[in-house]
Amino acid sequence: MPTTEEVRADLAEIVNEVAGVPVNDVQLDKSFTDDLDVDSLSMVEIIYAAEEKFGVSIPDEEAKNLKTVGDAVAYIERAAA
Amino acid sequence: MVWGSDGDQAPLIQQTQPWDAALAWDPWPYRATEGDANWPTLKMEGNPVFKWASYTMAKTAAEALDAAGVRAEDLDVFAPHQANMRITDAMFRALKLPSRVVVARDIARQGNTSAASIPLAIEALLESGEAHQRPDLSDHRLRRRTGLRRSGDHPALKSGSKRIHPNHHQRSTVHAHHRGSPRRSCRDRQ
Repeated sequence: MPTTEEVRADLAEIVNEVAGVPVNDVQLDKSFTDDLDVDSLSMVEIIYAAEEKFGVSIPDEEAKNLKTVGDAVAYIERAAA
Repeated sequence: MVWGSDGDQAPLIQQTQPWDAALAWDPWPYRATEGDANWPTLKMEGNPVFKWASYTMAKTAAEALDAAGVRAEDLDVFAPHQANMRITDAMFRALKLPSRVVVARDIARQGNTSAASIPLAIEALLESGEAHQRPDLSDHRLRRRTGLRRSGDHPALKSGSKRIHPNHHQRSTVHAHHRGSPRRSCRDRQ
């Protein structure tokens, strides 16, 4: 079971690859849209890549609620548990 | 070649108003305050269509590669339907194509030309020489060896992918999947 920091780091790699955001900027308290300037299409890609990477399912109705990096990490941890 | 359609996604792109009111509208004599037709428009759910287009197309593309016995890393050129640059980028990432693969980005010049987009994009790549700039292949060898990949979708969310082997007749397996019918496969000459 990966730690919270490991999930955050892996998610940061995905956000970096998809949206070009520096990995060190992808911290738990950051908002994808307001702080990291991730648009809605990039979020679709990030969610898809996260599903592949972590082996979890993130339905569209759940994805809409993932406002911050911390929201996404917490969801992934719950879904993978 | 791999192709199919996904009727479950019909609500994602739809006409929300019937033509009846517009067809019944008599514009003469024109009165600005009344009688303007309620013109039908198309409505699209952008994010779900982006998701479908990017990942369903990537999936059919991967199936087409499997059917042709080719790995993604063996490709030299990738020519998807030119609907949207973001979809092209997402497909490129989903297919895990090597960065050296030449990607058709003709949408920047031509826009979305619908069914014509793939042949136009391929022609543009060949005409510009962009696909010929690999240092390890001469023009002749490129044309003989290059595995061109093309992949297209459609407003009705039909999809198809085909591996092209220029100047080379090669048999490959075609998998066709239609809603309501069992999956079937047949042989097709490319």
